Formats: sequence, structure tokens, C-alpha cells
Amino acid sequence: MIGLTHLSRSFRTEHEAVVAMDDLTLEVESHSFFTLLGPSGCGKSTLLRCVAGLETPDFGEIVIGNNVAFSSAQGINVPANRRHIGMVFQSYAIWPHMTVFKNVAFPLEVQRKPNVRERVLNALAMVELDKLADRYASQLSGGQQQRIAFARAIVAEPDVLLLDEPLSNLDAALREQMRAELRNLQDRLRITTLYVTHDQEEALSLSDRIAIMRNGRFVEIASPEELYNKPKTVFTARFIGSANIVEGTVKGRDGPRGAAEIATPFGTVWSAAPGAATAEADVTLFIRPERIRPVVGEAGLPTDRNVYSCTVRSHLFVGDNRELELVLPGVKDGSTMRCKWAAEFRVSTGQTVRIHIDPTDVHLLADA
Amino acid sequence: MQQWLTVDRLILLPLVVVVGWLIVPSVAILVYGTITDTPPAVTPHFTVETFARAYGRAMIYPSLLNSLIYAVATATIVLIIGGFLAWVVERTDSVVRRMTDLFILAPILMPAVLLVSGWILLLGPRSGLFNLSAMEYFGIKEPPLNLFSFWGMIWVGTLQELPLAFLWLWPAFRSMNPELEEAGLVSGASMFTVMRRITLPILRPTIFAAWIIFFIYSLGALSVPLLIGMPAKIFLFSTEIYLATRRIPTDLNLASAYSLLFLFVTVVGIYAYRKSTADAARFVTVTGRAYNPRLIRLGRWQVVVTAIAVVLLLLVAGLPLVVLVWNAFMPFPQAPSFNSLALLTTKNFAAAINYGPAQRAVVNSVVLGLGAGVLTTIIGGLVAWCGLRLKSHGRSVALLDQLSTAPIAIPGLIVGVGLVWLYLVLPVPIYGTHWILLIAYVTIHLPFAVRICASGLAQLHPELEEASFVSGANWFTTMRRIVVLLAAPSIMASILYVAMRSFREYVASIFLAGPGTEVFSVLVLDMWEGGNSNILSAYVTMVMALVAAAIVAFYWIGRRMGVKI
Repeated sequence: MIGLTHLSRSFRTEHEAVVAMDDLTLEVESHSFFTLLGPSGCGKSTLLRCVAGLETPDFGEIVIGNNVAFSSAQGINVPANRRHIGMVFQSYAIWPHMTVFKNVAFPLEVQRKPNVRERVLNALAMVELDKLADRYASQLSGGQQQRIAFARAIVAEPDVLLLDEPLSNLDAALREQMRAELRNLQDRLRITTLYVTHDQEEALSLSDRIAIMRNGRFVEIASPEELYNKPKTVFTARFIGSANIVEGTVKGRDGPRGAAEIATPFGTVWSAAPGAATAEADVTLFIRPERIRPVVGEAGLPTDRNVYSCTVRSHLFVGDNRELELVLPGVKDGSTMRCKWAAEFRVSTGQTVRIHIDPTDVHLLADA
Repeated sequence: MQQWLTVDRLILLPLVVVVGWLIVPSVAILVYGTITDTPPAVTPHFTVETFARAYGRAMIYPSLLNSLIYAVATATIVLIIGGFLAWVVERTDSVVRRMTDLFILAPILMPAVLLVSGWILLLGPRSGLFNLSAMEYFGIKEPPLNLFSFWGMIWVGTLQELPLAFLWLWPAFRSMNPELEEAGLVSGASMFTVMRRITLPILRPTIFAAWIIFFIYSLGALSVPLLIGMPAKIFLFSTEIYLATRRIPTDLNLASAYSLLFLFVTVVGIYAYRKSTADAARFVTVTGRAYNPRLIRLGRWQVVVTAIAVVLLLLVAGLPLVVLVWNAFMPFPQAPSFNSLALLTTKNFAAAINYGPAQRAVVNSVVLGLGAGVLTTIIGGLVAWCGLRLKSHGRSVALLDQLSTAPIAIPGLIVGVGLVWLYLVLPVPIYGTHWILLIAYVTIHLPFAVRICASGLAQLHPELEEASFVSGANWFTTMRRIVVLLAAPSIMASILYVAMRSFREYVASIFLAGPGTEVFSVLVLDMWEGGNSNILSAYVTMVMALVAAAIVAFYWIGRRMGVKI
């Protein structure tokens, strides 16, 4: 378990005061994989380093397992070397003057644990590097260094595992492979894991829960599915996956729990789940590009709601998909609707296509 | 890294105290010396008399002017030649590239006096080998070249600082991204235009900073003013300070008053230096990366460029050395000829070994050099580490940085005068012992140790240390098992550099060495003034051989330990 309460930290640069963490409260359940996701400078790394004890918050409390690691109220600040954590750094931080074995043995040696040899070999076997134990780090590839870093982080069986963008220095193919392995290892070891990344795909595929961070605050904390399918804020909607965001005004509803009719720059849009929105309310709509479907012929449409004729502004073939930018009727400000269709669906620029958006795919966002 | 609060304080505070103690009192005492007219350890009498006496005399101003002209000329010429050499070595396919090591080793190997005395033995009006040969060969009565002139001083002064100038500029060429130049070439600019519009402007801060440093070096130099200037009746400001402490009765108060002005000039210089490097981010030169630039093919120019570089190398290291060794085997100054070969003798060596404190001086210098090397590197390494890693203690770290770089602005001369004063006034009985020399060496070389260690530590990703903390290691374990081992090349380099510079240091030593604490470099000066250049030559030849052997051993041990220096 990792518990953070009212954690705050700010620092001054030459030009301004930066609030890296603004009153953050969070609980990471034991054995879960928790990700801090956000753009660079949002404070996620600061938070992770505070948990590690490499930086000190101005205010608040950090609990790791059953121990208070930091508390401004009680004046407690356990140094990093006594927090009993494992950490994988962005640069891996593999010591080049030691062999792979020595690198992994280091935490056990300095913590004076018994059975060093056996435990090191176990940890190395877990990352499938036991054959390279006598090599020096400089002779290893990026992926291998990454595994050593992981073995070193888990070898002393820490209470929590902290991962600071560990995949960001790998090339795309290796990154995907390591992502799968990482999740696999965490499933087996069941160490409470705090993971920092700016890559939404990593976050979605690895995590049990994700905290979206921005300007030192949590924007939203939820499971990957919830964040993707039902984001609550514009920021989340844009940050995770791509999103079409449309401003509109509620005109009326089919009863208190029914669909809402919303006026937008390109006409009326129906949303099946408008929450508590009432008539005359200004709302922000969010539609995933892959949820916008082309209409071929008249047949098979359950309703005429949310059907529009539009012009193709541009189209990109991206392999498995085709990404289009469509200009909707009546839109003057140059904004477009982005959608993602099967690659077989051929279009040309300037062509007119008809689209349908299922009202259940039109979500209302809280103001960001 | 704030979590190391206690450790931070444990290191920072003592460091600030130690470094502060090295720098501040030894400079502050000069003010005390200036406003009194009583010698140390006597109830002080405060007066403006000393100041008036120092600057009321008209004769001090020509010396000051001489010093300024000498320093400006030397710094300018040395940078032009040094820059050329650095460019040849780093950016062209000239064969000189392979001789770089020689150039780096030459300045730390040779005692300062050696080059000067070598050149005197070569170009001295009466007994200079070149002049003797020329007079004999051409049958002329007058020596054709006289080293004992202002230009002679600048000539030798320039050659003396050339290797250091090369060392200063070389890394700048090395770490400058060659793509910046290539982008210029691709845009259609000629080699020359690229040099003028891209390379030089980018290197401007580095060059200006180096100029200031060499200006200060030249101001504070003592070997050329003493050995060439004095016989030629050309007095520099540094000569005046030296003479004030050597006259009988010694006048430390006058020396302090002079030193203060000296200090003022160098502080202004350092201020300009800081200004010029403050916005260095604008100049993308020093990235800490070593590039592998495309080398410029010299083609037809290969011969010319290489010839110039080789001649320079010979002038700096080769010729004086040859002259010296030749003299070591001659009974008296003698132009080289087949006839003179018959006079070859080893008597000089025996005489040198038995010359008064000759052996003790070498032992003292070796012990003090190594001691200073280790001690300065420990302090400098810690200062460098704090500067890089304890950013959160902004103010203390900045103070530490300023204190530890201050000696750049404090010529050895002033450190010497200041320490004499300080430890005559203070009831600490180290005046006249080895300790005062050790303190001087540590003070003078601290900025270099910080610089060398910092460049090494800057290469280490902070996460390498953080990984160790997180693994459960404390500060000392992390230092011992991670930092020191990973930075070992820089640490060894720093020890070696400081040891060598201390070994050849003479400016401060002149004031501090005494009976029982003679050091090699000062003894050589004494021998020179004593007049027997052949015994001196034998002595220096032997010691150089010894030092060269020590360096080879040092490298060998380093290699054995797996450290590449």
C-alpha cells in the first residue's frame, strides 16, 4: 500500500514559482499496478521521487506499507536508503564498473541480506539474464540493461516498486515486448507498483488504475477502461486516445432519464447518456473517432438521429486504418471531425460522405 | 537530494569552513599589512603611511605599465598560437595529432625555471649556445640575438604558457558540435567564412575567458621577470613585490600594499570572465559530449601546417631540453661541436647531488606534491560533487563555488605573501614548516582540482547515485562504491595534475620555503642565481628523469587498476 495525503511541493526557478505537487491525496492498493500519467512537467516524476525519498515534499504525508516514510506534521523523513523500495530509473542507472551480478547483488549487500548468490541468480533468472551474470553493463543492449535494472529493483523484495518511465529509452518494437514482460512480471510478483509515464498506451495496457496529472494536480483517477470510454474531463479525453470535442447547448430531453437533444454548430446531436444536463445548459460533447461510422446506402440505419453529410478534407492511410478529417455542414470556423475507418474504405479528398454517430457514443464532459 | 539533510550539512558546512579558511584570511591579511607599518607579530601601528609610500613613488608606475603590456602581449600571442595548435590537432588530419600527449605532458613535466634557463643558455648574450655558435660561424663580434630584452621576455613567457593555452582551448574545439560548422558549409559558405562567422563567434566566450586567465597568469609570473627581466633592468610589478620581501630589512607592508592593487586588477579580470561565461548557454559549445568531427584534409598544406606545429613543439619542449642536457655534461657553457664532445663529463651530476640541500629539496617536493595532490583532490572533489548534486542548497553551494574558484584571481605571489603574514601573526606554529607550503599548494590548485573532478562527475548520471541510495546504501557507501570508482579517471588526473603543478610551483614557494623546507623549484632558482648553470643543468636533468619515471609508473599503476587516464 502507498498512501499519500495532502502532498505539496513547489520550487522557484529563475523566472517563476512552480507548483510541482498541489495538495495530492491518493491511495495505491496493495499488489496493484498504479500509473501516474501526464504530460512532461505535470509533477508525476516529482511525486515518484518524493515517494522514493529522493526529493522532499514541502507538506503532507507519505505512507509506504505500514510505515510512515514522510510526514511534515510529525517531522518524519525516512531517507531513501531506509524506505525499502525498488526503483527502475529512466536511464536504468546500471553501474558500468560492476558486472551484472554485482549490480543486482548491491542492494542485498548494502542491506546485509543473507543468501546473496541464490537470490541474485533467482532475480536474474526471472528476467532471463542468468547467463549474462559475469558481463559488464557496457556490453549489454538497452533492453538487457532495462532487465538488469528491474532485477536489481526487485531482488531485495521491496515493499513497493517505483518505475520512472522505464520504457521511454527503448525503440518501438522492444518497448512493446518489454511492456508485455513487465505486466507479466508484476502479475507474478504482485509487488505494489507505482509507474510513471507520459505514454497513454503504456498506461492503458499496464495499469490497474491510472491517475491523470496536470500542473501538479490529479485530473482524474480511474481504471483504464473508464478513462478511455467515459472520461470526465476534456483534458483526459484529449490526452487518452484522440477525441472530437464539440461545444453545444441542450435543447431538450426525452424525459428525465432519456436522450438529450443538443444544438451544435453542425446541427442537432443526440446523446444517449447526458447525465444530469438540463435544457439550456451549455455542454461539451466528446466523440471517439473510431465510433464515427460511414453510412453506405440507406439500409440498416436504426434511426435518422445523428446522421450527417460531410466533405472529406483529408485522408491518411496508416496501415490498419484510414484516418479522415471531415468538414461537417454549417461549420464555418474550419474545425473538422476526425474519424478512423477501416482501411478498405476508400475515399478521395473533396468527396461527400454520410456518417452516423450512435447516441450512446456521444458523451458529455465536465468542464475541464 | 534533499533527503540527505544531515549528510548535506555534515559535508557542506565543514567544506565551506575549510575552503573559506584557505582563501579569506590569507587575502584579508594583505589589507592589515597595508594599513599598518609594523612587521608581523608586533603590536600593530595603524597608518596610511604604507599606502602612501607604495603608490607615492613614481618608479612603481613604469613597472605597472610594463606588467600590463607584458601580460596583454603574452596572453594575446599565446592564445593565437594555442588556438592554431588546438585547431590543427582537433580539426585537421595533420600528423601532429599523434603528438598531443607530448603537449599535454610537457607543461606539467617541466619546472617553470627550466624553459627560461634553457632559453638563456641558448640565447643569452655572452654564453648562449646559439650566440656562441653564430659568432664563431659567421665570425661576428656581437651576439646576434639578445634574450635580455622586453621582446625576449614576451617570447619566453609565451612559450612557457603555450602548452596550457593549448589545454584550455583544445576541449572547446573538441566539444563543439561540428554540425554547426557543417551547416555553414552546406549553406554555401567557404571554410574561411565558416571560421569567421560561425566557429569564432561561437567560441568567443571560451576564448575571452582563456585570455583573461592568461592575462592573470602572465601578471603573476615570476620566473621570466626575475631571470630575464632583472638582468635586463626591466622591472615588472611582480618583481617589485618580490623585491620588497627580499630587501633587507624585508618590507612585508609594502609587499601587501602592492599585492592589493595586483589583486584588484585580477579581480576585475575575473569579474569580466564571469560576465563572459554567465550567459554561456547561448553558446552551445560545451555539451560534455565528445564528437567525432569530420577532419579537414590539409592536402598540400599538410607539410606547412605540420612543420609549424613541430617547430612550436620543439621551441617549447625540445630545444630547452636539449640545451639543458648538453650543458649537464659540459664543464662550462660551450657551443656544441665535435671538439667539445671531448669535454663530456659527469662531474656536474656528482656536484649537483652533493650541492647543499639538493637531495632534501627533491624529497620535500615529492612529498609535498603528492600530499597536495591527494588533499586538494579530496577537497576539490567534494566541492565539485556539492556543486553538481546539492542544488537545493543554492546559497551555500554558490558560496562554496565562489570561494573555491577565487584562487584563479589570486596569483601564487599573493598567496605566498599572504600566508607569510598570516602565520607570522597567528599563534599557529607552522611558519617555516612543510605545512605552510602544503596549505599554499592546496589553495593555489584548488580551482583546478574542482574543475577536473567536476568534468568527470558531470559525466555521471545522477541516477547512478540515486539507484544506490534507493538500493539501501548510505552516503559514504555510495561515494566509496559508486562515485569514486566511476570518477576514478578524473580523480587520478586531478591528483597527478595538482602533484605536478605543486612540484613545479615556485612563485609562492619562494616566500615560504626556508632552511629545512627547501623545495626543488626554489632551489633551482637559487642555483641559477648562484651562477653555475652546468651543475643546475645536471640537477634538473636528473630530477626530470625521476619525475618522468614517476609519471610512467603512475600511468602503469593506473592501467593495472583498470583506470584510463
